[in-house]
Amino acid sequence: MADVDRLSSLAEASDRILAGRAADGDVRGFEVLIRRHGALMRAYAARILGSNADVDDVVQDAFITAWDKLPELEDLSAVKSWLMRIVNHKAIDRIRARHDHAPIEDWDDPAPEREQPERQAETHSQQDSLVRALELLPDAQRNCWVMKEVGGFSYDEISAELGVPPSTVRGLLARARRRLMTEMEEWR
Amino acid sequence: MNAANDDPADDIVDVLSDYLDRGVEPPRELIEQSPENHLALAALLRVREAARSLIDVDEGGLSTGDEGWIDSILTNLHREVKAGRAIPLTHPSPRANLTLTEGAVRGLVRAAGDSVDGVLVGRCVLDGDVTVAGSPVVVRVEASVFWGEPIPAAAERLRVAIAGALIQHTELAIEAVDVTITDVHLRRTDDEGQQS
Amino acid sequence: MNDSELARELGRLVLEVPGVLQSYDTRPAVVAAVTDAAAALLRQAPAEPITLSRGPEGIAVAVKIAVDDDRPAAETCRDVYSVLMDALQEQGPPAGVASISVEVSRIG
Repeated sequence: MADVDRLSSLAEASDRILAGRAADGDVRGFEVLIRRHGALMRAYAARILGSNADVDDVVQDAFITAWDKLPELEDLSAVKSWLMRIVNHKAIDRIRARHDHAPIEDWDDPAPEREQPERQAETHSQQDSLVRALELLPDAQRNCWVMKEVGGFSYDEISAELGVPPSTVRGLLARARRRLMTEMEEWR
Repeated sequence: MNAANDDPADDIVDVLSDYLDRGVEPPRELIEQSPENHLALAALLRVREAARSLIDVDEGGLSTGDEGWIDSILTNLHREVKAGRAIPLTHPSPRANLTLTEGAVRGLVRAAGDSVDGVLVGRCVLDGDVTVAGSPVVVRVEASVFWGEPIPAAAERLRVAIAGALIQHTELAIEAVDVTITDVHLRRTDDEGQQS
Repeated sequence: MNDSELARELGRLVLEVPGVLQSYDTRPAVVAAVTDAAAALLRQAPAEPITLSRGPEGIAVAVKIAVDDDRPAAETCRDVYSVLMDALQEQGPPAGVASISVEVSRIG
């Protein structure tokens, strides 16, 4: 069977089948997983990172790690959320590096000033205004909020990922929510 | 850092968030208690709705411009990590060290399974100490069948194809080939007649 | 013939064995063929398809190959061993042959 046919019939396969093949070393199966979930992973990474810079690198890195670790994944049908966890971890790592691996409490410096009037003019929708508001959040607040509200992580998971107590996560989330609500009101 | 948390407006946002996190509607009395609470809930719901749309991308939403990016991922995969265990082949000479990699055998199983019409092979596990010649080995395979295929017949054809390939190419002492059909998949409409 | 010439010659002989599709670079930490396109490139110019080393017990040779599924993989593998052994004995290395390792990394 030609590769093209194989790829097109693999495109119909479930995540579980594809993850199993990739775990065993099938590059074609892995390629279908990339095509299926790559866009979602990039969108998520962009939200964590606060911009599109580094997104391609971070997601690429996540997939390469996933390829190596797939044989350890117990529930193959959960490969999508597992991939999201890996990309989340890689993105947080990237932010850690941006802060020279300083503790997260120190990531709370205010975001740089932006040209707000221009941005306001670009804003067309609720989604746009949220994206703008997110860009203005300090990294620590944005990371907590995106992990919670977009990634669906629990407080405990966020706390483990960031290496801070759940109470700190709560505090950061509360501030993020408040600021986002305020910012979005202003954009309206 | 604690100053912000003393603000009562934060408290109500926290309280309302907790309800929403648990998937529970906040009590009416709480909402109707004050216009601020009402506004806070409205704003919170608006942010949440927008949050869900933030990663609202189509499945497979990569564009043709992303082909280079996909290729660079595939090129950078560490192929060697999938080699697995070394499966010995016998030879009369003590100077011969002949092996099949576990990865090669899994690939063989996959190809044999895929050659069966209407079947796609998933995970393949070689259960047994394959590194010792003659050890009993059970091959466990997951597979998906096209929607509408009779599953027992497809599983049997798959078992026969896999056993045949293993007997032809390896010296494994195969005790059994266990096939588990885990999924059913749909044939693509533009794929008619392409399946060999 | 020095060792690198010998390795090249052995590598050439391996590719001539019926059923052998390609040989892989045996140096560690090198990514082997990733896509079919890359595989085709490697087949034309494998960097170092044979590892050759000399020790007190003689010369040791190792090769990694892909074989087709038209003939039994085990048979192809044993043929590669024989071809290597014949070539080495023809060379008559003073210390003799210590070991010949043939690894089949892909079938079909």
